[in-house]
Amino acid sequence: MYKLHLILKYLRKRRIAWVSLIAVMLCTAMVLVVISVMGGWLRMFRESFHGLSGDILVQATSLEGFPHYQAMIDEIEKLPQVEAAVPTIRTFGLININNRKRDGVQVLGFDIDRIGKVHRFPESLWLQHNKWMEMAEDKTTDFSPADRKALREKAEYLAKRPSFSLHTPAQAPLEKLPDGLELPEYPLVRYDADSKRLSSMTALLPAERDRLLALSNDPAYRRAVNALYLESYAGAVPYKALLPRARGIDPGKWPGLIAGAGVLNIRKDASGAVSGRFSGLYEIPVKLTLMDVNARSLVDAGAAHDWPFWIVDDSRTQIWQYDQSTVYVPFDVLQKYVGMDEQTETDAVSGKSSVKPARTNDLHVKLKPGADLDAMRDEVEKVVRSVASQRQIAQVIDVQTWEQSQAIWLGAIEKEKALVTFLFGMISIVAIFLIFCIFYMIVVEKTRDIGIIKSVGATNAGVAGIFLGYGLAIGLVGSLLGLLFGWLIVHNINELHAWMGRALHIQIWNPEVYAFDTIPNTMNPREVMVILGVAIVSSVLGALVPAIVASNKHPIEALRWE
Amino acid sequence: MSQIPVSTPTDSADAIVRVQAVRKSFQMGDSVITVLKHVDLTVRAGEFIAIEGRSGSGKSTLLHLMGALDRPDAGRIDYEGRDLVSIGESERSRLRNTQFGFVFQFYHLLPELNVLENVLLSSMIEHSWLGFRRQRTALRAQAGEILGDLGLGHRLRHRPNQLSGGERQRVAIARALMNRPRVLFADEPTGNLDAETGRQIMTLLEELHQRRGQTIVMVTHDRTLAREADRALVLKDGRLERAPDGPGTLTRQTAG
Repeated sequence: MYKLHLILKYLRKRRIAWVSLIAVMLCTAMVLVVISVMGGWLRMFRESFHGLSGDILVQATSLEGFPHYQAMIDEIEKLPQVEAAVPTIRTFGLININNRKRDGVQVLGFDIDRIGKVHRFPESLWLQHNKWMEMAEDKTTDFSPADRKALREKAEYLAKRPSFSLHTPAQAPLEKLPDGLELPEYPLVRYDADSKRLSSMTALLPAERDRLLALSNDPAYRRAVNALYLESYAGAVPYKALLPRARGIDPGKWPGLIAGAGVLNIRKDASGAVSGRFSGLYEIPVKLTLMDVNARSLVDAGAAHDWPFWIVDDSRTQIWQYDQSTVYVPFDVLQKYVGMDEQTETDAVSGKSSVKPARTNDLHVKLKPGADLDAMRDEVEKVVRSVASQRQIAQVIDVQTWEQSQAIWLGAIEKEKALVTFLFGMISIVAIFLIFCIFYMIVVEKTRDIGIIKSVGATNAGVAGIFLGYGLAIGLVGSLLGLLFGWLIVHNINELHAWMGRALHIQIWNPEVYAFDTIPNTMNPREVMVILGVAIVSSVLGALVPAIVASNKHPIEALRWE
Repeated sequence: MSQIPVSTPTDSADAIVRVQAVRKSFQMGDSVITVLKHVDLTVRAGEFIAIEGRSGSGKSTLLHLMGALDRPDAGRIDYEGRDLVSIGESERSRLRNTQFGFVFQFYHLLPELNVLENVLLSSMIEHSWLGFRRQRTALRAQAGEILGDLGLGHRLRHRPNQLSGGERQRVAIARALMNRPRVLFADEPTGNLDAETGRQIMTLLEELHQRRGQTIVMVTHDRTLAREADRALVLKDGRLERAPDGPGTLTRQTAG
């Protein structure tokens, strides 16, 4: 009883001990902030990497790819834990954006209708998702909650049905708006009285059409809305009449291309302001130069061709190497352009013709929730090996989990996190020494009290218990205050960073470098518990030697201490 | 002056503390100073013994040895027949807590605790947290009663630095009495007080002895005070002698 009583008294009355308490608090907060930011960063990277990859990847080690992938998909999708398997093509090319920028890019061929089944690429698209989400979240607008909900629904709707089509604004003639009708903020449809046109900034969805139709029964107005809706889906290409035919392909049939935001020089600065995105961007024609990847003899010249595309959207995956130098095109188009489609070959000697099956580079396999990743990797590998053996596939194929395929990147960030945590942990050892010194001072100062307590019957263990308990109390209070302080910093880290940028012109977090617009601001409960535990144990350790010294004091010598 | 005998057949029946051939030395730099050379003493239940001696004569050392605060180099100290020298430290702590009470010259109160808490300290040590919580009301009432008896009923929430010297010593006495000790050891209890306050403290100790039959062993350098005990002894040259003009004899004095 006396131990607890004295600990609480000392905690309140001995202000020197508050210095150790503050040291514990600051060290706990510091390590919490560091580990939360680094951990959050790693978590965001993992999520982003995983978002652009199936759970399991079946990959050809050569750009040449492997054949009979549809047979593999059919077999893999028979596995009970597999949700879907989707092929993608991975190659490289040169991009020429409207003759203004030429650059080397990674080109990914996605089956846009199915890619959403295995990863979250559609959620990285601007016109087909993020634009609407940002609008829904934009606090500066006066959208009603119902409008914001509708915007979010639109974002989700579009992301579920991504396309490589142009998302052209639509217009429809309308003599005048029905009397008393005021167009709502959302959907973004406006009436221009001068040109007598109803215009929509983007393709109208069926639900948006219905919402507009519900506003009035005026036949002319309803006709205009329906026309707007129909034109949205007409796939009209403004350049159709203007551009010459390229490589024999009608510009109206040029395929769409989604570019990484960085490829289009779309950038976000520290304040969140976006530059490089302008109206008309998504109608610009680009030229991709692609190599035929078929195996040839050393003396044959490889074939490279220019192919026209329309930019239809941009993607921000938050993975630097994707956003900065990757473009996405339709799977079947890319397959054909690089010579990976089904081809008939004629043997020069025998004159016999044979069919060379279509190929792909990767299969992304999505597992059902709760499936064991490593066990399923083994299962998928068995299927792949079996199909490869049956169909006599000569190409080398790797089967990896998404973590294995990104091990180099994730490992580097994990090591960085461990290193920074270790360094700050080392700094925190200072706190242990501070506690040691302060407790030693307290023990010396309290020598006579120790004699008094022993003279009325306290044991050595009891006296040691007072100082260990005192250290424990300081560790507990200090680490809890540190948790509060750390939480306040982590929770408001982006606001603090913005303030530092404004007031002190200091910018630590560069979204260009770290790929994420905001500094991670969430705490991992497990890590918090570990840090708090270490802080408390460290405080007790700091008090250990002084406690032993105190307990070993001879009562008479202690009573005579001056 | 005759040397005090170790014991007599009549002593043994009601002896509480028995000191036999005790020797104690201290290392002072390179030299060893033997303060107690050969001390024999029997303290009987209900007895008030005063040990006088000059400063540095070893009287406080003897008190500490009898109160299990220190161990002798040689000899034997028994408390109710149990050898205090050979028992373990935790058992000695328990005896200090439940059987002995100490009053020191410099009061030795804990500055962070108020009067009531200082008095309750020995009870807090005796009981576990739960045990103390259960009996808290009774123990507080007991401490309040003791403090009331000592004229400090209105000072319960005061801190030691808000009290006079006499009040502090009375708090120290109250703390020593809290666990109803068999023996009260008082080490120069008036040494730090003015004559008037010192007299009040002595009156208090005499009352305790006479009204409650409290066994008291007091150490003092003041011969006048020593004469007020049942038995006055002098520590001289490391040995205990009967005070030349003291009130006590080697036979038992009847208290009260």
